[in-house]
Amino acid sequence: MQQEARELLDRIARGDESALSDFYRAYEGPVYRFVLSRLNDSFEAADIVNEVMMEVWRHAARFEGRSKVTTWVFGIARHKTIDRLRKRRPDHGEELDENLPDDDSPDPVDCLVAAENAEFIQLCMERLSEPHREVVHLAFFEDLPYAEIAGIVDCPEGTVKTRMFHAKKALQRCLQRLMGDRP
Amino acid sequence: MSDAQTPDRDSELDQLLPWYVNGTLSDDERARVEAYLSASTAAREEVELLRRLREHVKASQPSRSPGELGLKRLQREIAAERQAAPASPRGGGSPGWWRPAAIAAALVIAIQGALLFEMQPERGVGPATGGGSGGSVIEVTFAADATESEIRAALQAVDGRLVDGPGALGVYRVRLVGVAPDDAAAIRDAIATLEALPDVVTGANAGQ
Repeated sequence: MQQEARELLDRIARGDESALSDFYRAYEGPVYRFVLSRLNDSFEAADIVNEVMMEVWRHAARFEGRSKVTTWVFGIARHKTIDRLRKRRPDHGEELDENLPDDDSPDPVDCLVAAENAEFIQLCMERLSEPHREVVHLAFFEDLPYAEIAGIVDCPEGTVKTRMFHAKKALQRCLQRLMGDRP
Repeated sequence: MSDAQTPDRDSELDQLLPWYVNGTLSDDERARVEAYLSASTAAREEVELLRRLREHVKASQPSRSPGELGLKRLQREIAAERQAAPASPRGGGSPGWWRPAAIAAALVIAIQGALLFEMQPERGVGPATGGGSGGSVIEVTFAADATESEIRAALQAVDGRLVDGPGALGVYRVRLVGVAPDDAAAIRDAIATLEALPDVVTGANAGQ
């Protein structure tokens, strides 16, 4: 797949529009879902997919093969998503308190019971911060290794692991609260 | 080794659990995590929770991606970019691009569009094949349950703008930006694109 994608990029760099169509068909779904996982807006996500593919068309020659194609194209999508979020909320930043201690320990059994309920999980996923949702999406929807996620979100591997750890804790806390609210 | 003997969770291994679940750890990491799991009930419960979360994320269906409509939009933008800057940015390009005939055709379309822009009123209230501001107008009906998002994507696929409607029969008038009224091939192409979306578009024609 990666080799095939690199060959497509080579052809795109030479102006082969049919290669762009193949590339689009291979990546538009994953890119759209990735952007949507952060923006939660299907209109804007579709716009960004278009912008990403235009960028691929214009700058395929810049891909040097030092990273995976997935990392490169998701990285472009991520930058465009962050730009869009900044326009939406000028004070938007990537700041996350990665080192916050998780001093409470949600009951794992409660969480497991709550996790049987798809609505509870969905609700809790929606309440995650954008960077947390992003990492959960890349790890659990795209099944990417943490090293590759680090390349996409442009941060150290340790930060990816910590971010995922805090996302999981936040989900657990949310699920436990929902269990507590249930009559 | 039991949980009682290891009251403190291993934070390093805890942080690897999500990637154990998605199957992307190295052999060494996986072996360490499996040893940890065999000794920790809490870690096993956490893995079970993570598996359920992953199943949920996989099963959740986000709204449909742009798909072929998005590809049409992309191709349209690339064509427009080419028309705007006909010199090849790629030092040669592929055969079939930048043919003189295509450039001449683009110029004809642009000139016709400019003339129509001068001659037509702002809104296309005349014959449906007449122009609005710089484009041919077709008539379109949308499925009753089509969402705004789907209608928007359909219009973007043909670079269309709603200029009038709905009429009494639910007919909308859509201006095809940059398509001259006498460019029958481009109009047919746009109609075919819309008709390829039966869940969204129930009818499209060049009008009376």
